[in-house]
Amino acid sequence: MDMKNLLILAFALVLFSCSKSADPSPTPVAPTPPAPTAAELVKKVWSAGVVQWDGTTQFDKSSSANIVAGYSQFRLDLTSSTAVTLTEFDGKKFTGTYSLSSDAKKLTLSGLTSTEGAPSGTNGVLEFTVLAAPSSSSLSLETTAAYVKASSKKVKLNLVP
Amino acid sequence: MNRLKYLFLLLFMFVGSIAMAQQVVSKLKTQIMNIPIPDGVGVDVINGQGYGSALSVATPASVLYRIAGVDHIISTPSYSNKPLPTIHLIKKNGEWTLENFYPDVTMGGGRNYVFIDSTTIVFADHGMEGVQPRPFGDVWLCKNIDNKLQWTKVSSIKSFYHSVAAGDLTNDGKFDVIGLQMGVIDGWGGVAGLHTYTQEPNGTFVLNKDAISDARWTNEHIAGQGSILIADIMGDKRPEIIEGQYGRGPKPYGLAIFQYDETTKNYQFVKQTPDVGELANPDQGSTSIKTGDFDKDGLVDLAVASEGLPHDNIQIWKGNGKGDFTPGQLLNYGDKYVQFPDSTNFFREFEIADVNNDGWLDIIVHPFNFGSKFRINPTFPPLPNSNTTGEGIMLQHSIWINQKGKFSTLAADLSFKGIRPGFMKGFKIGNELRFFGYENAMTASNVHQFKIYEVSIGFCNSVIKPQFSASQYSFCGSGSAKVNLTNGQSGDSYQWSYAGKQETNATPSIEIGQATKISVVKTDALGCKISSDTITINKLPQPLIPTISQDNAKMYVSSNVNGNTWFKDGVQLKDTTQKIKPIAAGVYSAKTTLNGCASSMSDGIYFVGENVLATQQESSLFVSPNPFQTSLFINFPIEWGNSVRINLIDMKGAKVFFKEKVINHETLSLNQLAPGTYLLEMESITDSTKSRRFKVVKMAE
Repeated sequence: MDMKNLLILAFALVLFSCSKSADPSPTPVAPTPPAPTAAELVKKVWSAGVVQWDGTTQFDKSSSANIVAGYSQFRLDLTSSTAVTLTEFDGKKFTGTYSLSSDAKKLTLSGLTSTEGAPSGTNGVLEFTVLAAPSSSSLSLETTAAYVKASSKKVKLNLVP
Repeated sequence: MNRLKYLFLLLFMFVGSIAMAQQVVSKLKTQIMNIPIPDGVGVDVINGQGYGSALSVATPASVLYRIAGVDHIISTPSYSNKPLPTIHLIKKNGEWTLENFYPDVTMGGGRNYVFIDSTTIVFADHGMEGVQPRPFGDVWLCKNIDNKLQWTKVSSIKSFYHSVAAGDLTNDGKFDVIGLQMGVIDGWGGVAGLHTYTQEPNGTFVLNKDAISDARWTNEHIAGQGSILIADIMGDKRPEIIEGQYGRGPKPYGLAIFQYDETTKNYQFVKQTPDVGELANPDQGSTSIKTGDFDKDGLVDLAVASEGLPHDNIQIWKGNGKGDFTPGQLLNYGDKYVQFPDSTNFFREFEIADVNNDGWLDIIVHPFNFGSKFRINPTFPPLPNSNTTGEGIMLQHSIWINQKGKFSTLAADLSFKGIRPGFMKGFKIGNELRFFGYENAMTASNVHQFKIYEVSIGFCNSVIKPQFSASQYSFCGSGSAKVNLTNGQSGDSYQWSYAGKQETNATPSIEIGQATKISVVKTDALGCKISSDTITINKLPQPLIPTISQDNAKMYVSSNVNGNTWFKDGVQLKDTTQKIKPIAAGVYSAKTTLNGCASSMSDGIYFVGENVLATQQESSLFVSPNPFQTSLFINFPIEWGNSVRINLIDMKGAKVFFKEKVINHETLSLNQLAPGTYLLEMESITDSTKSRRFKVVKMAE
């Protein structure tokens, strides 16, 4: 045994003897639950808080005077892990599937259809950029492209449960 | 080659005869009735039978007729030890009901009748035939007034009245009656057996012994008389009297004609038929005479029924319009029997009517007894204790169809098994031929119970073929086609055949939701059937719902190349191209129509206008959103001042909303308005030259 190994052994003995004599009855610590994932956080029925088209506010839930009052009926139902129901500002209801990118930066609605077909100009696909990390109380989205149905504007949705 | 040609000709004639064969339909209705007639009035104490037994042999003078849509039966039961009350039945809601029976109007043997008009009938009753000495009968007048019978005794001499006729003999506008007697009580038999009763102004009848005198009627004519008719057969506007011979005599006369004589002021015998026809047979006796133009030459002909051996007959006598008649076709069944009444289709009375509506007068005889052309498989000739009533009845032999002046019995099978009426009498009622008859159904507890059978016969020579409203039908996608007939009539029913299925309904239309071929068989109210042509129902594809996108030129583009129609705020635009340029704010949508099939409306695009969003909050003049659901945002230029006046007017011009002072950026709550299109008038309060009208659309919430 060389000198180095001897020092390690001695240090270990000291540690062992110290812990045993300093805290003879330790208090149990509750494990911290893991933080919900973004995918779990978005699994809600979301309604419109504030909606802007090309930066102009069209709807504000707190206002009684809205340009597109129909957003009061807007719903984005993500309660399923994969299925989505989108109720647009004109009351049209589309169903399809959705996926959240692994980095939670992009929400994609696919296969959207209704008795009147897909949302105009989408071919059934609506892509959103997730503007901020989803929380239990907000989901902030913006279409990645101009949304034809919304007068070909980029639509920014601040959604609340 | 010739043989082949004849084969084709024969085949053609065969097919033609099938095509020409007249469809005949029939319905049998059976009803049980029980007459509450008191004992002693309706019970035959000798035979221990009830009223039903007497009805079942009430053949000669039972009649069926219709007045103002109401059907009536009057029957004169017999086969009793005493004259029995006449009976009146009325059909109500499809069922025969007893209207009344008449203990004061009794007949021992109603023998013959004549209709005066649609409500008035004269009956001849010969009295009890089987009781000796014969009690004899009367002539009765029966008027139907508001569905009640009013009886008047015409005769004042009890006689064996075998036939009866009516006509205006005295030229006073009132009909008179002649009863032809074959036996009389008081000894006055009248000239040629005719009892003339002339009608008085008060409607009663008196015996007029002078109406006919016998200057030219000699003993050599006395061959017996069986039938009588009063009719204008010489075209002199004054009726003649025609008498038919009955039985043996020193010299048969056939038919004797009596004409009014202006010198003697009464009727005188003027002539007889030189050829006496079937009445030359001393075993024949006429029973009934009726007129009709059977060959459609415009002249009156006669049909004379006679009974006896070797068979019953009706002989057609062709008239020349001058009172001369030549015996023609004999209608009989070729029987060669020697014992009365062993005819295969025994009858006495008959009716004349165009039963098949072909314009030619036909003849219906009224069968009774047990002939093999009336009963189905009876023991015939009838033997004691044999099954004389067989398995049922058939009526085709009792209908003589006139085919351009030649008569033959109906070819159709009109057999009805399981019924055994005593007789069947046929009358033209409305558009159909109707037979009726009775069968005794007496039980110990229901002495007067009987069955009444009614057979309705329809001739289908004028059935209207069902016509479709189109030569083919089409429908779109998951829809259906409503197939309509253009010539359906009340009472018709329809059996539709399509796609291997059959469906019956009572309406001349049907909804079909599949591509198929379809035809229909119509059954009319009589039961006549006729098929339609077969037509095609096409299923057309429903166009895909267009989806709208926007191209680089900011035009809205339908996903369907052809057949587009565009809508803004739900109102159709004139554009029919694949692309359109949105100009005014509103909701744009499209649908596609191909081959008459329209898609559903596409999803809508909310177009707010170019460069509006960036400036709308500041200076634009607009209302938003449009269409709106509950509220409208009001925006006007700052130059308009601080407030505007707002009116909303609906499409009928009615003002539905008004607000005197609306500030800029104010939102009007318009929940109370019904969905629809409105005209919004905005006017500056400070500068009336600044005003604008908008068409706004309120959508359903």
